[in-house]
Amino acid sequence: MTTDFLALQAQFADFIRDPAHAPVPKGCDPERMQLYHQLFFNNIDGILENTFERSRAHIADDQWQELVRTFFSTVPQHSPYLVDVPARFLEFLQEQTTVALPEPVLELAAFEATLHECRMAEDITLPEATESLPDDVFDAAWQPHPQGVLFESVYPVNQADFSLDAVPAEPTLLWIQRDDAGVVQIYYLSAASARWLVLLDAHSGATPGASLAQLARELNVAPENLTGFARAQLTDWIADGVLIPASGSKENASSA
Amino acid sequence: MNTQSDRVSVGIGLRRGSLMREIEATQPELDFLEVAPENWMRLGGAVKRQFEALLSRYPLYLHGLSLSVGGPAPLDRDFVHALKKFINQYQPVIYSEHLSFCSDNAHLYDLMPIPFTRAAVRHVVERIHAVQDVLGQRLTLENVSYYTAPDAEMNELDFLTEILQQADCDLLLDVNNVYVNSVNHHYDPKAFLDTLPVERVRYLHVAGHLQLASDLIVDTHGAAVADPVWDLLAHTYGRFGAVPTLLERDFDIPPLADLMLEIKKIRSVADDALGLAPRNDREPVMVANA
Ligand SMILES: [Fe+2]
Repeated sequence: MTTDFLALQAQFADFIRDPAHAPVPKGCDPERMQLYHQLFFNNIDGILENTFERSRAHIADDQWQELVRTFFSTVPQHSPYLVDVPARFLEFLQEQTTVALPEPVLELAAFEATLHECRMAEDITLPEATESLPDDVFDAAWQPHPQGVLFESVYPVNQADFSLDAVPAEPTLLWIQRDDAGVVQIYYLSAASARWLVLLDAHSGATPGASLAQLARELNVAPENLTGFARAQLTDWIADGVLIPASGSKENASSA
Repeated sequence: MNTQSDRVSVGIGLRRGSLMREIEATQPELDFLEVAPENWMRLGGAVKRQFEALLSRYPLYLHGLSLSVGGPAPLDRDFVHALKKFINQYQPVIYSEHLSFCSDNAHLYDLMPIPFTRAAVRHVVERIHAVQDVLGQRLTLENVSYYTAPDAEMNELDFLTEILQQADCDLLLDVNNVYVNSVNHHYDPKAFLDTLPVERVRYLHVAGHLQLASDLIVDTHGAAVADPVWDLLAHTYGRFGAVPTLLERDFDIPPLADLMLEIKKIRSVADDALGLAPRNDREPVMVANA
């Protein structure tokens, strides 16, 4: 009498995940089951090594092995898409306590995961700009591109050789977005421009004056002192596709 | 009869990156491109537009990875419906998958052999029917390579033919997998091929492998096709006719020109086996140097 095939399947998968603790499935060759484990493990390790290439370089080999092994053997993957695994690994890195990882390495890993997500993102249907745009950028309503990501880190994670030891005086603020050619672009933001992007998003549908007025209040400056900065910033963001025309807004129609 | 239509269709797998750029730039003489739907279903931006541009030139074959048709957990119906949407959108010539399981209650992203038991046959047949019902088309399933299998009631060949018959589905015959398994599990690959139902074979795969020991080959898709597999491929055409054939290459991918030499060899192996006259070499037309 053979063992129930469902039990055999469970044994097979359990052994692949954790050969140190699972028994060899009934009827299987132990050495070849080890080969299965190694092939499956290498497949996952490969995509993680690729996605987290820079943070990986800051983690000792035995620690990395321990991390991937623990992830592979204990974290169930419910997505049929292999490209979703790096995001799960990042969550695992942030929650796990087996290997103590320095904060800048975790932030670098989050940055790399964000680049991966932007590269792989599905297309979304953008709101259609129904009317032709006015000549003055201040007369139209804009919203941040919904696939862009505002990324904030204590460390300059986008610089290849940033020091893990020094905490810079200023945080690093980045806007990460895939361009029309499919390349993931990274834009540097000042604290003021990052805040304004957040406010533009919150006031999505309104012309930029509303969010700029709020920014001026927060910065405790007169709105007219920000006009030069705002016009240059808007022009750049529109040219780069960071801002796109907002659509279907009453506020926009009345103020235009 | 026009002998052209008797000739074999040959394709390669499309992968993002340098291979895709080379295909776009040189528009090589291929009869189709194969992709894994899981790697393209959620694509966006430039790469999606490039993919669609290639489809105006090349017919599409789909070869799935994550269906887990032999899996123990309930079928992922959301996933099957997403597949259906992709299939409807891009109208592939064939959607094929693997006769294996790649998940228990969670995904492992690689292929495990289904235990060769009668209860497993019933289970898999039921699931094939369920998938076929949603997709509204026959499934084409691939014989997979394996290194060791759990307690069995039947051999690989009986398991495979039972499922083809009971599920009334088609076979993607991977000739390299037949060779790999024949070495790993000590059987005669030609006898195996000669027992398969001719009318069910809709698609062929051929690939390179890595031999680790005299009785152990790993199905890597990371090397050129090996001599014994070329021999087996000729035997396959002799029995099954001009079945569309994919050259599988997933790792250590060489320049496209090298893959095209293997494509050319597939065509000549098929022509020989089918008794067709050699082709007038249609070399790519080069812009003449002044
Ligand atoms: Fe294959």
